[in-house]
Amino acid sequence: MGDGKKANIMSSVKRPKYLNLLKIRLPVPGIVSILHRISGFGLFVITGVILWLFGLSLESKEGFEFALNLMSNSFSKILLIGIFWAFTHHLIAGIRFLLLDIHWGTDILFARISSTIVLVLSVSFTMFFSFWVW
Amino acid sequence: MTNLLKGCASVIEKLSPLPYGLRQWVGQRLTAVLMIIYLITICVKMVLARPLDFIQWQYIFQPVWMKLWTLLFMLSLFYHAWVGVRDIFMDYVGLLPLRLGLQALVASVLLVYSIWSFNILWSF
Repeated sequence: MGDGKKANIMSSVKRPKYLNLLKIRLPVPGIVSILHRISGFGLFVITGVILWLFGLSLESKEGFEFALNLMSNSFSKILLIGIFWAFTHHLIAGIRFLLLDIHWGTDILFARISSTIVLVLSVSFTMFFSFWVW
Repeated sequence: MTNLLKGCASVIEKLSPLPYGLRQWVGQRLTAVLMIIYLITICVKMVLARPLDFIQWQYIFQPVWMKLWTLLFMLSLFYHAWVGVRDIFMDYVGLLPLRLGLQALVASVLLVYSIWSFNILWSF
């Protein structure tokens, strides 16, 4: 009887399922995961600007100076720090995911510790970078 | 035209050693590893080129192997981004026409970026 009920519930679930982000409460590994996604999307959005600056910096001495000078006002410094955080978090969390993919550190305690390490490292690097930029 | 596209798609499907979906998953990981290796190279290059002025900066990207390696990095980045953004759309954008429209937009942008990258690297 139990099985029949279960099958009934299964068939009434509509697929594909879309997630309601507001109903989800996340543990630390989940936070690292969603930040990986958000930072990745942010980096995708900013790619065009970086490519443009990269082109300018190689094209001429003026372009190189222009790209460097663009970094010197507070607004672009804040933006740059944001990009640095997104990049650092995406990189470190990404390395952790690659290790998880080869089944390294998959038990729950270690997963929690390693995800905390990812958060601490990316935030500390970003703080060092902020001091260096300013 | 649609038949031609479908034909091409099915040929790619048959030639590929991995099923659809797993291919993107593996591709995203391989490009990730490649980009990490590239980052190490570029960091070493930049440290060796210090103090980093315009001439040194151009010099880093002057050798053909470095142009090719950088282009490979950029193409990896774009493929990596394509898989990631597509995953995001598939998870959160329920309306199919909207999702396909967004995907087409992202794909075109990344295609333009690829050509642009080639242009940047071979035009200075």
